[in-house]
Amino acid sequence: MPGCGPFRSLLEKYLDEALLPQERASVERHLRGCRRCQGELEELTALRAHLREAVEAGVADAPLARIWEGVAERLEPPTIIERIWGAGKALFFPFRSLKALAWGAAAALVVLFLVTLPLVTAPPTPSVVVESVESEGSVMIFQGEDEIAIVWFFEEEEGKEGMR
Amino acid sequence: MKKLFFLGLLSAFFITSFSTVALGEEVGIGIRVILASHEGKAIDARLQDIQKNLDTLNYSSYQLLQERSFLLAEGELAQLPLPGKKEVRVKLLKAQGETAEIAVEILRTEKKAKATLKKGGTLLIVVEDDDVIVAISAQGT
Repeated sequence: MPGCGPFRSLLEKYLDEALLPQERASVERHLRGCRRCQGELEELTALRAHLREAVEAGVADAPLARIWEGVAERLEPPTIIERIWGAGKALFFPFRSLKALAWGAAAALVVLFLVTLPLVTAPPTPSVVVESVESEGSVMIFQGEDEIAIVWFFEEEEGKEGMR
Repeated sequence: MKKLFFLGLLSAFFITSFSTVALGEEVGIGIRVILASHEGKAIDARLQDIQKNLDTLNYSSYQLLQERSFLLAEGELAQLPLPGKKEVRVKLLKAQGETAEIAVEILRTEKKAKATLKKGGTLLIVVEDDDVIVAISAQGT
């Protein structure tokens, strides 16, 4: 059986569960037969437990509020000019970086494109659209030239000429 | 959040600037009463703008009897006498931007028409019974 030296150096890692399975098995085998190393392990375990308790108690009782007050006191308050500049910057330059500005411009262009697309692609509508016609006789509706529509109410009497 | 608000404002600006719709506006409506005839070949010089269209009809001469312009608001009427003791009545039904929707009625007959005219558009109503042509034009505001 080898001496305790190599195993003692591994006890810390054993507690941290950082050993390889073979190393762990080897340490455990040694511990079963070595009372000195068992005692060492118990001491290490107890020491770790004390340290953990001490740290947890220290964090819980730490006067964080007072510490922050102290930091805040040491910080220089912004001057009136700095405050006005900050407010103005936030109002007139809502974009913090050029990248954000580029995205904003791109979004605006997309909106502009979507709004104007129907105007650009819509087919031209005639200048005159006859919606409805009522007559006791015959009617003819036709598109003339130069933005003109013609509604022709024919004479009821037979024998008269229509269109040329 | 600020960014979204700014983008919203920008979008609203573009949308409103491209959808300016004038509501309740007045529209200029021109009405010409023309007497057509199969005799002669005289065409009134004041009808030059619609001469090409008059040439497609089966008359040979055209005399302008009356020409009036009206500034109509929605629901308002314009009325002119026609030969044969009839009258033409034009009512502005709706005006929106560059377009005007009108109702035309030849009184004492059953002849009626509804049309939408853009600024510069003309509607020719041919009443063959009396050899009368009514030219109705939208002249804008």
